[in-house]
Amino acid sequence: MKFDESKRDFIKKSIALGLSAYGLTKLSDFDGGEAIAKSGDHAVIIARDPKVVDANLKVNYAVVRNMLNDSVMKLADTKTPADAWRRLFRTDDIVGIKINTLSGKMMSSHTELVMAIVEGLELANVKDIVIWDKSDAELADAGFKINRKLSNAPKCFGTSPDIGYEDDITVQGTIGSRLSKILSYCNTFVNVPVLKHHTMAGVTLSLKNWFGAIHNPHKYHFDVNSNNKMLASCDYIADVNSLLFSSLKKRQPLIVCDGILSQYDNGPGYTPSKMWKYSGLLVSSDPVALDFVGTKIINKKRLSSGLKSLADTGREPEYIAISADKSHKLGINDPSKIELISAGILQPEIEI
Amino acid sequence: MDLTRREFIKNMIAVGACAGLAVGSEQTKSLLAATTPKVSKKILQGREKSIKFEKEAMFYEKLKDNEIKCKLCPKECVIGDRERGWCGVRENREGTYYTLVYGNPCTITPDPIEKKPFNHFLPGSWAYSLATAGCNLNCKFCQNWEISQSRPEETKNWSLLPSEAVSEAKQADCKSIAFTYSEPTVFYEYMLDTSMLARKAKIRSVVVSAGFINPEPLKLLCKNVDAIKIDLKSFSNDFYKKICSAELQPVLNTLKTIKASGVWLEIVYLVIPTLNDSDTEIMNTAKWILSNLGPDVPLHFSRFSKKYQLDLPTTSVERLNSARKMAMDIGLHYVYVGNVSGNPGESTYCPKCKREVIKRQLYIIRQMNIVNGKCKWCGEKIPGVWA
Repeated sequence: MKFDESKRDFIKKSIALGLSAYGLTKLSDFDGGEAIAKSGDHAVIIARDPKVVDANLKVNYAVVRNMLNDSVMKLADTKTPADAWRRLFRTDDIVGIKINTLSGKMMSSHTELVMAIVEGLELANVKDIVIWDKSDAELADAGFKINRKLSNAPKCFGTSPDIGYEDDITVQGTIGSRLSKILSYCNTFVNVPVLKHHTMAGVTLSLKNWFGAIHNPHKYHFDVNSNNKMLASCDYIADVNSLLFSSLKKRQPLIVCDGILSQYDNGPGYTPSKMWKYSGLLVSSDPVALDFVGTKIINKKRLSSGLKSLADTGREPEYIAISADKSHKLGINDPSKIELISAGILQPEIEI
Repeated sequence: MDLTRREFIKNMIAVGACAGLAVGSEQTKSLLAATTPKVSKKILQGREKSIKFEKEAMFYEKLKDNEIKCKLCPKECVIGDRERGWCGVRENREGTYYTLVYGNPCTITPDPIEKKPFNHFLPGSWAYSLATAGCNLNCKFCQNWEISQSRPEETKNWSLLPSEAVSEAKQADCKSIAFTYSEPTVFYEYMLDTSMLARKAKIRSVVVSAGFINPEPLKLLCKNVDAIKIDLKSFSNDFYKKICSAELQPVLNTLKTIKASGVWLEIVYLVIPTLNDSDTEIMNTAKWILSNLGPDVPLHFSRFSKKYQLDLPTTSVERLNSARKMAMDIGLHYVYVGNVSGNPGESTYCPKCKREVIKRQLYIIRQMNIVNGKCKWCGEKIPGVWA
């Protein structure tokens, strides 16, 4: 395990987007931004604090905000939250906060965490913020209030039912999909997945969260061309991420994985008996590194709970390694190159 | 001639309406308005994007930890809580599997039965056609991918329960209800309930499907519908896997099951340049049909034009004609050319006297020379459902 809380290299993203606000047009028209994390950007910060959630599973906003800002400061290597957020985001960015709301209030991205992210973006003076996921209905189920008004307040809505998907199919590798128009509208993203198990993918963390941006994720949960190989070992997830962050050059400077409440088995639906309080956030700019670390956490919890590892159940999320391979290059899954940094009161309690 | 004057006029109109031909004169326009079956305004109100968790799905198995295994089609998806099957229209909610499209069609339209196509089933009649979102295949050449590859919350859906569909079909003077456009297998419960009610109301039910369905649901379906058209995509399992995300053998099994059930069966083979159009594959297909289903099952060789993810040239008429000739030369009696208006292969010929017993142009019946199910010249029985 490598705990390096000393200075790291600054994130050297050349934020090249010089584009003003625009309407719901295809973002493929835009150029610029950094698709892939650079060497040295492979830190995963884990902030844990037992006070972040109480006995009634209520999340403490002040605590989660501190956890987030501490993590972002370590990620950006700054001394103040404002400097950190400004280092990651530009004023004229149109930022989409892609949350995960599949599983109701308990096992979705928490509203308190998303509020803290919005506050951070406001420190960077970002003016156009969209909190979004697949549908209005799921957002509402997870406790988010739908807001389509064009004001300074963050907008919040799903792709369905009203925004919709682009008319044309976009093809990348094994994927052929229509993309959410919200994806097209935004140029920069904060990815806010939940730390949880997934029956067919092994885990659903930052890479898998982008299945919520395509119109046909149901077509990509197993591969009928390869003896029904499960999503865990397919190219699909890696290809969706390559499409967004390599081909379309979207930026994803910040990933905040919500591990306040987590689930180690029987996901992605909420199963109370398989939920545990990890009381933490995983923060990174590298989706592969974050998912690599997140998988370790889930696997450790499975074993300590008497369950088999993901590999022993045939659900090792091989797509994480696929995402790191030469044809995708979405990040790093080599543990010797991942900096695991603790930012909280509790230790991460894992080794990589 | 079995065709009534009214049906003939409706066919004429259908050609104009469906093929996009000019409908110029005011007289023709008024005729169109007066005679084309309409979907009632009451039904057309209130179209919305919504899904409902009301109707439990059929044919699934509950597993441990709230997982389920769908048994409707050969994919047999194992699905975790809050996830959907490959079709995108059936969802697991805490261990109970729901269909999300029951009574929620995204397409409602009366069509000429020839558009399905059925050439031996109530020719010249109208079929009240219904489709929902979703499909259990992903054919790279799908003509209706906007609905078949979408989830129901992405399509605008009407509320039309089975009883309403039957009464609407009756009111529109449709002889049948067609489950079509996307893939009826995935809205199985809706199709089954509607066809059961339709039979009581003396309306036939026809299914247009890829035939990628498990035997148990298929057998139950066959007891309740009157005709099934199967799209045989290719005679190559490799093609099925790579181009359609499916498999060949279950479809062949489906064809045999339908034939054995006595339900009227027709087959469409879309001829796609370079992918499934070799002489060998055409011949293997025709031989298999002859050996396993007999000479009287109609086979339609249809013309491909580029769509969705497959950018290939349109099938040549010569290839379609030669495929038809090959299939007829080995002994199939009723082989058609589809999607080519004016081709002689659109018509039905008596296998005995070789005369034209049904003269067609696109969806229009120009001559009907079958009387009481027989060739009016030589008396040869022509298989099909004629009344």
